[in-house]
Amino acid sequence: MNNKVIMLVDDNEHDVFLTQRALQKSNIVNEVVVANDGQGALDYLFRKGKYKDRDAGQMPVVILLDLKMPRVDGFEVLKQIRSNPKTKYTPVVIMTASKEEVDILKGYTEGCNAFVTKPIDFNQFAEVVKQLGLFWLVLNEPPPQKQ
Amino acid sequence: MGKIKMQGLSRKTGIDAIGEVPWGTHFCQLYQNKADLIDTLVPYFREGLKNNEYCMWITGEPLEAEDAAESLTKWEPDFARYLARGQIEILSHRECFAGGDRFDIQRMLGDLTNKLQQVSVMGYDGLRLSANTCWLDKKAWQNFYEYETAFNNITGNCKILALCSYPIDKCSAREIIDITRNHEFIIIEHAGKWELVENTRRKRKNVRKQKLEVKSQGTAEVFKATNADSKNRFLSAIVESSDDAIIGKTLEGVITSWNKGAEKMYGYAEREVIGKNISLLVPSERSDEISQLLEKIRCGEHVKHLATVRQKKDGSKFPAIVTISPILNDKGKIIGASTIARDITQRKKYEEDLLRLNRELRAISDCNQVIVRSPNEQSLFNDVCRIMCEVVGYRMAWVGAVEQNETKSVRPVAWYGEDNGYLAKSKVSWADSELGNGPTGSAARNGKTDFCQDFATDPRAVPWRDEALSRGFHSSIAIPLFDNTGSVFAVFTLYSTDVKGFTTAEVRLLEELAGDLAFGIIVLRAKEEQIKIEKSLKDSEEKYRNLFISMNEGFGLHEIVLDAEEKPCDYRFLELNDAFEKLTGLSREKCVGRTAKEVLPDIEPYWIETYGRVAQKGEQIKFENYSAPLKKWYEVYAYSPGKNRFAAVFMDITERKQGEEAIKRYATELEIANRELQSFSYTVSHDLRGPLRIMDGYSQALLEDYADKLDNQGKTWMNNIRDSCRHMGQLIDDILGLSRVVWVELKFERVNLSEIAQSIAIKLKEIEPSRQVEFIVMPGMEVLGDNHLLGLALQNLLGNAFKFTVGCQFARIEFGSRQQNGRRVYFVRDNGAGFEMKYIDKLFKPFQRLHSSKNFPGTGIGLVTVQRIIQRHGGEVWAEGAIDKGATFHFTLNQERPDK
Repeated sequence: MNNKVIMLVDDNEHDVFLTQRALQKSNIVNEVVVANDGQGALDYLFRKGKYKDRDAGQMPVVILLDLKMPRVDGFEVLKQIRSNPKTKYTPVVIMTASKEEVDILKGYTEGCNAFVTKPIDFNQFAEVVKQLGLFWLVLNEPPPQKQ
Repeated sequence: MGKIKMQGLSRKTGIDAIGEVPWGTHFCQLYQNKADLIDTLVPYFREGLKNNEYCMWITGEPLEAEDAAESLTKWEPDFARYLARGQIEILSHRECFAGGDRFDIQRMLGDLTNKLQQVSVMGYDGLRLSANTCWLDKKAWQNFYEYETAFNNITGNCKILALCSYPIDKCSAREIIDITRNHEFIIIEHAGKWELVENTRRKRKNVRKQKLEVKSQGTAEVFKATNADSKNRFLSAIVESSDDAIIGKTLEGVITSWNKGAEKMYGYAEREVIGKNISLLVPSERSDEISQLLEKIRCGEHVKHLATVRQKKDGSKFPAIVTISPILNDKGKIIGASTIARDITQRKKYEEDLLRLNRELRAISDCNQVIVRSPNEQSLFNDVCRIMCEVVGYRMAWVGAVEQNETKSVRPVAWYGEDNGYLAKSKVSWADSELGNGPTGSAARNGKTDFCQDFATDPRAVPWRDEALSRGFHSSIAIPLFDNTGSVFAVFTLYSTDVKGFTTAEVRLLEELAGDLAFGIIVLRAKEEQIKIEKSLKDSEEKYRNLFISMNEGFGLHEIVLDAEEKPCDYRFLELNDAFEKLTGLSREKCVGRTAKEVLPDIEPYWIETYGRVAQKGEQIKFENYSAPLKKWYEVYAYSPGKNRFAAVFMDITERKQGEEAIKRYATELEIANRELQSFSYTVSHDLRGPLRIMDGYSQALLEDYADKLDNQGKTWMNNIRDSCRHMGQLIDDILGLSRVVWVELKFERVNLSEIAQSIAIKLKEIEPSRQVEFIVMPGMEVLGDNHLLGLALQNLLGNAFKFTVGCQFARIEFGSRQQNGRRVYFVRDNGAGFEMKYIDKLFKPFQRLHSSKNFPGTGIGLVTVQRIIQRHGGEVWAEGAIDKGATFHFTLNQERPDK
């Protein structure tokens, strides 16, 4: 499934583990870039901090974004993504435990492309991750990459 | 030349040629020029003024009113004083006698009687009158002549002296005869002296009156009959020319002589009666009278001035005064009698008129007293009606108010006399209709006095004729009463027993009375209005005083204190009520006269600024403020009753304020709690779910990756962990759902419960397609409510029913409604597991379950959610059921008072 990169932004290592496990179980072997908090995600995307030397051409094909994170939360990350021309059209899927209407509304207001609530049942969760992977990696036409 | 001396109350005429005359003398002068008039009339009136007589001088060519006044001023030093006290009136004949061809005798006589009455009331001995007749022409002459005749009939008995001035140049012989006939004597200027010429007929009357005893003591020269012959001739002439009937008869009553006067009076010619018995002239009912009278004569007695009734040839009767004297022969034997009869019909009528006028005058005087004294309109009207009936003798009198209503009715407000329901039946109106065309209605409409001269014949009287005649009303007069704007507010109506019962003079008096009455009413209304105003002023003053003292609100009147820049810097207490003391805890003695800063040195500037604005700009304001020195909250209403002053009405609202503060505090606390709850919900939703998912995820990972290391028991336990994770996830979802139900804002709209139930049923069946469940939903159940929440409630109720019928072979779930006790009750009924009624209390408590999770999984939140939703819709929910007999959940929705 080519060399498309998935970005996973989540502060909880267990969630990261389970998500990656679910991806593997769905036979999605694309590279997963993990950011453990919002700041890390932004640094990666905008090549700052420890990511300042990374390959500029490589942008994630989809960003799976958790909302509740220390320091820079998911909404802030989304806001910055959308306000930067480089990442303006990058698909962002909010993947969170919250079912709160306010969160959903705010997510779309800030410009997310999808909002997914993580089910508690792992089998269901794995199914969700599989569907997401299939959709964004296979079905969806990503925005044209400039440069 | 000579002087007439008569018995009775003699008056000095002031004219030498006449000397003294008795009251009632009516004489005249023939003059040539102005000097003649001054020569006689000036002394005439001077004498009158001196002798306490009311003088009335009607002047004419060539001595006009101004000349007359000038002459009197010249000759009478006290003239100005007499004039000032109103003892003399000098007017032109033009003011006094109406112009034109006709001369209104009745009016003049009425005026005269009025005048006499006034003069007497004013305290004068009598009336001295002089009138110039220069204005008379041929046409008016006959009329005036009749007047003078009528005048004589009245004045004979009155305290009046009348001197008429006739211009000799204008009088022909014929007229001089008329003049002579009508006056007792004439004075004529002859050779520089005034000569007196006496009326023979009148002289003769005087002679007769005095039983021929008075000798002609050298009175008038024309009256010097000295020998018997001429005397006989003279007497015969008198007899023939007399208007009185002079009849001679024997002692048996046989008529022997019959003069012209008798012929005229009785209608018999001389030849018809000579030789007949005198009883011919006497009405049959008086037949005895003659024999009695003749008996007296036979005894030598005289019958003097007997008032009786005589009968004419045509059978009509008339009142007469009869004087009968014996006739003696040469030897002094009584041989017969002479009867002198006078028809007094006319006199009687005048007397009656006079009497009536006198009564009218008395009535006016009575009424005027009533007008002055009446306390109110009603009693005034009542009294006036009573006086008119009792004093004047009208049959009935009433006052009708002119109503400004649709029917234009005249509403009787007062009446007196023979009403007997007449007014109630008459329904008088002032509209231009049959009932409005009577005198009363016409007077109201036209503002003019109106009459019904004869109820029997007047076509306008038709609606009232029978009723009026049966009560003895034969004529009526209606006089409008005007208010001060000149419109008719009432009509005064009087009924007389006589046809044409109102003479011209009477009408004038009645109109005058009506004018007085209307004026009285105007005054009374003004007075009543004044009293009302005063009373209401007093009442309101008292009311405010009481209010001021007793009101619960504090009240203070203050004066603002200004600094050098005219800015408010303090205020002074002027007046304070009891409540002020109570509400501030400050005593009146300590405050009144002192300033706020003196009493409360720590007073906040806010008070002074606010009150300053009120006092200086006249603003009215209402505010609430805290006073730190008094430790109280006040609600104050302040206004300015005058420049630099303000009044403050206030209440102690400390308690209310404290309450409000407490409420505000609670509200804030509640808001905080709510926010916390929301953030708690968020935490629950996000943070509690996360660990569960991880627990489940790792359990699954263990089962997958380490399956070979776990025996069956280990696998079961791992699965138990996973089940618990899912259950707890469900619990968290339900709790969040419940909290949302409690806090979410309701959106009211029309909700079709039937449709919602149908779609829920379809979904339920889809979940377990293998089950045979019959859903019966009553169609068309529409309510006003929150679509989402009601859907959630139905979801729970129908979901429960679906869940608890799992063991039924023929599951039946029914959703319907019915009208019960005036409200609509909805129900969801199933034939499933049911429940024991003794646990009903637990049914609607969170986390309480009546069934094991094994048979019927659930969190125990569903019914609590249902209950909250129904409660938020102002309704109730209750349940009934029995084990294995199914359950029914009932609920109501109050759609009028939705919970906000």
